[in-house]
Amino acid sequence: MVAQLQGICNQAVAYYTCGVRIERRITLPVGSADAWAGILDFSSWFCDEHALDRVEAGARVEFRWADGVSRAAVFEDVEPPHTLSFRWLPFARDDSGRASPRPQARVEITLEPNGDGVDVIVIERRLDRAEAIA
Amino acid sequence: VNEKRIGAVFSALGDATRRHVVECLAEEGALTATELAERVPVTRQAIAKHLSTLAEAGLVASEPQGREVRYHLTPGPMSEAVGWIADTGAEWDSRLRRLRDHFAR
Repeated sequence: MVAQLQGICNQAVAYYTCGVRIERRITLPVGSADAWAGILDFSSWFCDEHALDRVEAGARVEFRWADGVSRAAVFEDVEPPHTLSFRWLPFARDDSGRASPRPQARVEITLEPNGDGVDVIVIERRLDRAEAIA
Repeated sequence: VNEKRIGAVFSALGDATRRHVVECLAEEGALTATELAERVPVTRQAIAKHLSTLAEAGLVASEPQGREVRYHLTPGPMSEAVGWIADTGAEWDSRLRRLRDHFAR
């Protein structure tokens, strides 16, 4: 019990110092341009269906999953083929259209050439922490 | 409510003295403010203030015991923040696996 509490505290303190965020990195065996196009084809990896008009700052994108849940986001930084970021709208909808709150968060996807391939770095960061502290 | 609570948790843990208090409570279970002041190098008054910040964030609860008040950790709110990290991380792991498979074909 004590060890468990300590583990949770240590984790929470670690998250405090580096922020409430997750970071992942994968390497794709293709060039940046192909990786960029693949990433924008969201329904092939990120969700089951997606709807977007334009990929530019301020444009809206909607993701839908097979379980009927949908979430929308707004693009922020769009610099092909290097950086794509979006801010989640703070709610999700279920298949009956009912909205439920979701955390304020921002996703940043960065592409870095690596030999013949490209590294894709994803950072999802909570935005509510800084606001709460300020 | 939950979102505000997580903010309060991380704010409460942003202070080194409060983290020290949390560590003492994690190690020893329940302690009084006087006992905490023996372990953490600040005054009993300062300890009391830190305890009230931790209590507002939902991290600490108090219980009267005889003439004394003992404090113990209530790690639920921390689990909430830790839970977001775990869930969001798992979502990205499966999305990125699909992205990798997409290009492996």
